Amino acid sequence: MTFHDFLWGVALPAVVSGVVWFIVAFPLKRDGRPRAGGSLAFAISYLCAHYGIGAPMRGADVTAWMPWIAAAAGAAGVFEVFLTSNRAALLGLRGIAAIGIVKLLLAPRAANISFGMQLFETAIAAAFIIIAWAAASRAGRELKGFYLPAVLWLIFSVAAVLLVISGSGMHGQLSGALAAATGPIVILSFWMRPPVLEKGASAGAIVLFYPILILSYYYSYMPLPGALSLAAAPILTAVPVLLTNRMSPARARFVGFALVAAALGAAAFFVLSEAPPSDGY
Amino acid sequence: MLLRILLPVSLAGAGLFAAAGLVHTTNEAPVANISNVAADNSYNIDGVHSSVMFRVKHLGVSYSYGRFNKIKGTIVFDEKAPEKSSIEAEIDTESVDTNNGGRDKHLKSPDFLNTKQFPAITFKSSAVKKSKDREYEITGDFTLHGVTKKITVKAEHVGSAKDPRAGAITGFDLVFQIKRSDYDMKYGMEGIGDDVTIHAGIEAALSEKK
Repeated sequence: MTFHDFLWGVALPAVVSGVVWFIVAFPLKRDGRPRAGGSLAFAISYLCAHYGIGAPMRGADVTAWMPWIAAAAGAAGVFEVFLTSNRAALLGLRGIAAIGIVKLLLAPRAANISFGMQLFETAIAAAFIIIAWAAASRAGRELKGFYLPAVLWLIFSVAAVLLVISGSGMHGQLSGALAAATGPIVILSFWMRPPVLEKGASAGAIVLFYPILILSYYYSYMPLPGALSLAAAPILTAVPVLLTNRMSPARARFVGFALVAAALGAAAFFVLSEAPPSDGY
Repeated sequence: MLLRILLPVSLAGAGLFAAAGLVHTTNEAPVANISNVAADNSYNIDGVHSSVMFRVKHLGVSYSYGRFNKIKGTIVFDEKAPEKSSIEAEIDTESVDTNNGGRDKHLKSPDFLNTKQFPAITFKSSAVKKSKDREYEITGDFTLHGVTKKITVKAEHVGSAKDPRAGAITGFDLVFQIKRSDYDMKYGMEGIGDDVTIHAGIEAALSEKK
């Protein structure tokens, strides 16, 4: 990693995220909860990294859609705050965003595959985004402390390494930027009593992470089992919420973390198994 | 009686002449530098005898070389009226070859060529102008990584000949330079240079009339 890569792919996203979170979280509202807008931290951090590492910003390359997707992710996280009480509208927002994102990214494939396959691929990919979005949002509302930020940071960091190993340094750096953007939130969560990643904040991260996975599978060399394992990891962040009624919060978090670690371990296994020798490159 | 002598002698003579002609055709080099090769001047690029190579600076200290192994296309070449000439060529991006499997895979990834989305590099000429003896300037649309730019390429007409197997053949040597950033390939600029020099040796065989 060059200094330029570190500056634009790690340092700047972390600083930008920290600044946005400082504005969002402090001063806290009267109820002691942070303001809406945390998703903007991920969106703006991602945009800095995307531009800085030289990822396509225009032209026919599908990766050029990512800045627009980042803007949509930031906005979706803010809109989500106003739709929390309306489940149908919330599902509609997530569905439209997910399907729109997948259709954009898979458009170049449309000419080469059947309409049925297009529908199938769009449905599967969009379903992953919608479920993960819902899972991370619920976890963000109900899990206090550093657990969720730390787990998301781990997911984005491991994904970054695996994406580089599988063949795309650019996708790896973009996932690394999400990890860098999560870093300040992990630190902040040690001081904040309310949940840090509520009010649509986790939407920004999720809506950016899945497009990176989609790009890495369809246009790079991420093997399918590896992509599915990485796609499962953010969904598993909601496991502690589901288990809280059956066991202690600490135990529920331990089980949740173990499942996330297992998913990441499986992803690493599949990627490393299929990675061909680098031939010294 | 006379017929019995003349007929076999005539046949033997004809056979000798035919044998001499065959030997002449297979053992001697093609007649070179035939400028007026054929009335129909449309050629198919011969991928076996054509080469497309590129070089780019690595870390600012050396040039890394690579090639594309698959090229196809057509050339219309009228030496007497160059403005009527044209070239359309297509390079298979999956055929990139830098003699290193890891590097080839990286070049095919979205970091650079993104071959799954952009399987071909194309050039389609719009104007051909003779600049010097046997040298031409070819202007046309060069499409790389989904971006099309008008460029002008210097081409040397190396020669034309008649090959016993391929028929009429003609060959060109082209060199030009592009900036990969102009084609939205900006990743890794600190390590891999922006300027890419492309050197193509093209051989084409006259298209068969149907």
